[in-house]
Amino acid sequence: MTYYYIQLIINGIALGSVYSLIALGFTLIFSVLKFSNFSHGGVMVVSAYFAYIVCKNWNLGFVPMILVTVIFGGLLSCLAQLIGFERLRRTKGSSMLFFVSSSNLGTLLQNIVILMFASSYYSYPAFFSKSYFQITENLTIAVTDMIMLGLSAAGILILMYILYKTRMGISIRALSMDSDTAKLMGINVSLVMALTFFISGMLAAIAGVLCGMKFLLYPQLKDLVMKGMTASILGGLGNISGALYGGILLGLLEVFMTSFVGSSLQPACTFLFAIIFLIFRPQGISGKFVKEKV
Amino acid sequence: MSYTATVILNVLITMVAVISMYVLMGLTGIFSMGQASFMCIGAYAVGILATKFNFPFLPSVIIAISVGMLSAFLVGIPIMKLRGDYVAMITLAFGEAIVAVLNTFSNVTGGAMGINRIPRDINLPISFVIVFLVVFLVLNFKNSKFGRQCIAVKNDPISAASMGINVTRIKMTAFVFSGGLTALSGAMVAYATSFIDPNSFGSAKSIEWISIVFVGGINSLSGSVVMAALFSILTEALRTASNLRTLIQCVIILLIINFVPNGLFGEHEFKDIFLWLKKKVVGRGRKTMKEAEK
Amino acid sequence: MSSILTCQDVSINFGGVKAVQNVSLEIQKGSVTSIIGPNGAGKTTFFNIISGVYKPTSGKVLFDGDDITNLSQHEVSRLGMARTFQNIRLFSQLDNVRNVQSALDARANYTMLEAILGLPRKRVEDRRNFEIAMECLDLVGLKEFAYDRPGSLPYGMQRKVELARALSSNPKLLLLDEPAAGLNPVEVEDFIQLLRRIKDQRDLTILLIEHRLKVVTTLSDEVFVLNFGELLTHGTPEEVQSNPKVIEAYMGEDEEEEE
Repeated sequence: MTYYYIQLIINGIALGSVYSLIALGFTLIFSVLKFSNFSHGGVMVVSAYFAYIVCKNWNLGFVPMILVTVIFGGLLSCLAQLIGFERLRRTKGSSMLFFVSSSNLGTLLQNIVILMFASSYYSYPAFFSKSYFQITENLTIAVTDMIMLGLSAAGILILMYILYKTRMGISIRALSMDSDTAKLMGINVSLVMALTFFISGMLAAIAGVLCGMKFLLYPQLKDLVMKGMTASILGGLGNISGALYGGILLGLLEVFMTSFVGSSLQPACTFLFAIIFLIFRPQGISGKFVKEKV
Repeated sequence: MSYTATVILNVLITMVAVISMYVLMGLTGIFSMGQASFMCIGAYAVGILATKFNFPFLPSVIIAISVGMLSAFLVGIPIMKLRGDYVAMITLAFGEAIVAVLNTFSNVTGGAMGINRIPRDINLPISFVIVFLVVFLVLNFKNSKFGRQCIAVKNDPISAASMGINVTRIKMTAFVFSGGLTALSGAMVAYATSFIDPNSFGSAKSIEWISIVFVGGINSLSGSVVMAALFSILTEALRTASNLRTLIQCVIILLIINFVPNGLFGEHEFKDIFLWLKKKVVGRGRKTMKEAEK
Repeated sequence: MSSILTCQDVSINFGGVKAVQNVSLEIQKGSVTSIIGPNGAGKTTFFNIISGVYKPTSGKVLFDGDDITNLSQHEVSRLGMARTFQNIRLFSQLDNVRNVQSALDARANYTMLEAILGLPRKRVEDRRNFEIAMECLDLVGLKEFAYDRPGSLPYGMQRKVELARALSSNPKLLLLDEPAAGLNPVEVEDFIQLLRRIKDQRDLTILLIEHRLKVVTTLSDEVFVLNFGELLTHGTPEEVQSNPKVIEAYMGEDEEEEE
């Protein structure tokens, strides 16, 4: 029985790490532009399918495939920013415009995939000879879960390094605090904005491939961005470390709920939990509110 | 019913749904990504009442609206105090929860099979009456203290509160009112199609309504109504290629957001345009029409 | 004279920063009182505590006999306190007269049902409130711009619209946060006259934050000086101006006459 729960915790953390990864890319944009970027999901889907094409046509191994896809995802995200948000940012459009723009971009990207591949399911070629590790008699870890954990952790560490140790990271954080002042201090806002979107797109690409490996490839992968959003809200909106905790919390929550009430009722229970959580702790786990200046 | 009549009926249903979104998004600035779940609630209320209990048209519709308003109220309690992003997430999670519940309790709801053989008790005249009634109510709402407070809250919640406006309460009023209207559109769907299933009320629908409201114009009910008609006719014209239709729609919306951020009607209603024309023709106008010139 | 606003040991911390510390003061009914102090002294924060935007970390605020320490903004407003903002906060999508009417809308009595059906009570009440709003706009001399949007007016006029909006609910206490900021000398003179006129017409108490000495000295009965979140001193404008502590606090600061 104990093994059963340990197994659940392992599965939950593995799932949660992907949610964290999505939440991070999502939060990064939120902290800079203060809106919920739903086009993140679109970038995830398109990158995941791109990885599939790359594997099929060039016969790449896992690592080169990830590298190529990550760069593709970054570029795609920059393109999305140019089309969807650059003009709005310059004209200081209301947050609602960003919202509509990003959700339509997401749908647009998803529909490009649907038009090219139809709505059917695809799967990546098997990259590894084994599909799971046997730890003890009762405990196993799926190889995809291991990779998910490893890649998410790597992605998160690299992001942390960039944000806190490099000049560019400092510019991004300055921009997230006050874009007008950052501009006055000589930061090239357009460039830093583009870089932020590039990084967030890279994270989306990794997340997209991981989700594709775990859940198969289909266009509705886009909707997983909502898991990222939920995670970042549970963690504390706009807070990088909050996104991490929120993702893990949501992963554990879903795995345990599925085990207790079954997968069909799980969304309802997760919803109830989220509502109760927000009643008692609206500021999220990390606990900083985005406060309006009076 | 003839083909044309079905098309017109669909247009009218979309109008009611978009008008409900107009109250929420256009006037009050609340993003509800799960608004379609209230349509689902309305449809199921009618479906269950009409097939299991043989309720006639009017009582079913009234109960459907009440159930919609009640569930909007319950969902609204924890989130109306919070930032818009929380509302987007919680309403979306609510939509998923509703689908989960409908799928699970299949002895009442028919599960994933949905409910069949709902009497087609709706026809064009009734629908037209409903739409006119809804437009009448919402126009009155807009031109009352409630509508003006909604706009004030959307523009600047802190300033609104300092004027004595109970921000949470006004948002809640708009949310419940809108929930009732969306449920009404759901009731119309149930009677019009005679078949409903849980999966046809996803977040894509809600996002589409939000976009239509935006493209129509900020604060403009006329814009919402006209755009609802145009978009549902576009849907009908490209019925065989629905993914292409979504693609085209997204491109149009992105173009409008970038280049006409106030929407096609801006803040004007038909009345303003009519008076402006009259002024052009007659060559004089009252001072109140200064706005229309801009 | 009795006091309309009493603060007892009001303090607020923002994550360790003591923005306002142990401020106690009393405002007399019918007076004009100014709060002055260098930039960052906590004047606006203090206003935000009084008007309910922030809850103080400790201390008590009494308004006309009621304890308003833990009331929210709209509740404080309903008790008869109105305010303006340092960086004008009008509703950009409502025309000027509707901006002014918003405070009255918040107090209108008709129900949702009466509103959406357009029943007579709604129409009567709306028309009456509209007329009151028009009168307030007339008072500040902007009746002819009633149907324009605030965004299309110059800065000085927007300040007046905001003043009219604050006056429309006929408040007992009016808080003005730097009402003369951004106005040119002619406009300032105009504004002083306007405030005098309003003060004479209505039974009002005014509390204002101001940098311009001219406004402070000509209008106020009493002046409170804040520095680093603490109350430095108070007295008549003349007393305060000659107080060495005040001069020291302002050292290195310009008079900000040119702002």
